Amino acid sequence: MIPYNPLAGGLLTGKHRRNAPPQEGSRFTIGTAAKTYTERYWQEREFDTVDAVVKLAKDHGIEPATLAVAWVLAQPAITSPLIGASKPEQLKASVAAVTLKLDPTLKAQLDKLTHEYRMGDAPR
Amino acid sequence: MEHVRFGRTGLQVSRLCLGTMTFGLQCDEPTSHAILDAAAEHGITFLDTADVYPLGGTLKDKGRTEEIIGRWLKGKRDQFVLATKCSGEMGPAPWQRGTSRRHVLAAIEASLKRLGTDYVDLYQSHGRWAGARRWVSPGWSQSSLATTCCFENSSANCFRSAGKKGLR
Repeated sequence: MIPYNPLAGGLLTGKHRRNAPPQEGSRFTIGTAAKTYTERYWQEREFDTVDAVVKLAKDHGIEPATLAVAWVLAQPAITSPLIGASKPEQLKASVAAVTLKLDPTLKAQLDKLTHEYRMGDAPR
Repeated sequence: MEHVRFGRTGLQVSRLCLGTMTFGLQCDEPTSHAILDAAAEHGITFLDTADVYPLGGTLKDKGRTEEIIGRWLKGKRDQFVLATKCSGEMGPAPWQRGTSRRHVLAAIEASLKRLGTDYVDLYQSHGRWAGARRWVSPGWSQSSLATTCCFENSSANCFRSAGKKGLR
């Protein structure tokens, strides 16, 4: 499985604020895609989850984007998540996920946080 | 960079795949090439694109992302595993989208030309959710070559030669 948007269009970097307009040049403002991405991710529920993920990341001294990609990589069905960038330096945080050892307790917390977004989880 | 087996094929791909839909609208060509350079330096060897990219564009923009990648890939094609997709709208005619045999063959030829290569390693149907259904033609079962190519190395080899032989 090759999943897209492991950073939810950039939301999981923690750089977007729910009460501020999205940054120009982001996927939330770009031409014909702005509406799709806004509907897909720019929602109260998503921001609540992002806040929780960002807090967990900070508690563990990990970049939120690194933690998000690391969680995707920790799922057994995943071959390679698609990572995107609009600036070269943005790749670093995603690349760091490949060598990050995700603590089992932290992974369990993320599994729980993201459960409501998934369909068809195996019984737990 | 860790590499893993791609599904049940024998192909090895890097653990991260570089998505490219930002190339050509969210970022210009020099920035796109700098992103590709940075990805390669990080050891990423798996690149994914689509005929309809850049994200957020209109018909006149489509194909620009593949062209940007093609210019960068020149002389180093063999160092990367390259994936692209079809089925999104590429022109005003109703048959310039979807997964009919006619469109898939036209789309792969156009992608290969823009990418400056004679093969792709992975060819995918770009359908998404209910939107894809609308584009699946009644001839789906006869024209499922592209989805087969998604998952099977041997079939992907057919597509490696599609550009040369025409595969008609």
